[in-house]
Amino acid sequence: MKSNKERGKSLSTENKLTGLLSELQDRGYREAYVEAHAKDTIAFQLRQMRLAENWEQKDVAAKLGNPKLQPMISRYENPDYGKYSVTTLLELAKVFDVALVVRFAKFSELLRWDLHKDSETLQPATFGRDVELANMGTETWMWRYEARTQIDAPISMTIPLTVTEPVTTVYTRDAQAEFTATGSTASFARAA
Amino acid sequence: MNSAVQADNVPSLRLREIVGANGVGVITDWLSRDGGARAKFHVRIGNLRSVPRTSWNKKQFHKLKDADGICEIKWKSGDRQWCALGYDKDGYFVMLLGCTHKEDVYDPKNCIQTARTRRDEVQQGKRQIIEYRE
Repeated sequence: MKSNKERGKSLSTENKLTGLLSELQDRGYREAYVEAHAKDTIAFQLRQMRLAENWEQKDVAAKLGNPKLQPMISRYENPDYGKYSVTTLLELAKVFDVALVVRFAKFSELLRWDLHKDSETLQPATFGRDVELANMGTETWMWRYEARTQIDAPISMTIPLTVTEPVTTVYTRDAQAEFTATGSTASFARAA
Repeated sequence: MNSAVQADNVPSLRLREIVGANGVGVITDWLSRDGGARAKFHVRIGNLRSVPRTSWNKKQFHKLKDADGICEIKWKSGDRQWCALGYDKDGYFVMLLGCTHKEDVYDPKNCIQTARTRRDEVQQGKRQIIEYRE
């Protein structure tokens, strides 16, 4: 059963989703939303990752191979700067031992990421501390199913399952998701 | 020492705004004129919420000098700096006024004084406060 806090968070996420879906109809909002996510998030992440290591900006510069790059680190941590070089970001990913994903995406993907963003998102674990990585390919799978009810209200669930055999999945937006887990079969059909 | 550390006892960032003469929240009304600035504000506050307040940077959130506790959430959109002025009250950041500035030109001109006046009005119960809805 969900706690009051979880219920509150879920409600707040639903409200935010409804607001965002409406806002994104405005092209100006849409374009700025993409830009802000690219610029803001990188800046916040760089700062959070550096603080997590107890490093000064000059330490990061030194790890990049040139202590004189400290002013550049300062600019990169400024969310209003935004003139990032992919090459430098790749170098910074090496310094922090994290992955870097630079690619175009659907708005729905960005929205999903935004709605479920938390402190871990803004401070990604290093390769060595990535607990999820250690669990991948073993037992715990997180299934996410999204649908709309007849009154057009979004429903979303995240379900942890222990998988005991290779999973056969049928997943289409209009049909159903089906899988076998721990000896029982669960299926979620999209509401008509 | 992080110069942005302010009011650490306030959890994360929960936003409220005062209601203007037209019955709409002043920040909601102000940002309704510019979708780009609104989007950037929403992303900024989302990121601020996701990190501890102790690690906020003064480029994002700044306590104004000699302004009796008035702070600003700052972000850039277009060719100017945007600020939502407000103060901490009962675990919320209550936004009192929005303003922009480019170089030394502030719009509105006397925004800090206006923010102070509005805060006093809130304290005296003359202003209605509502949740800020993104």
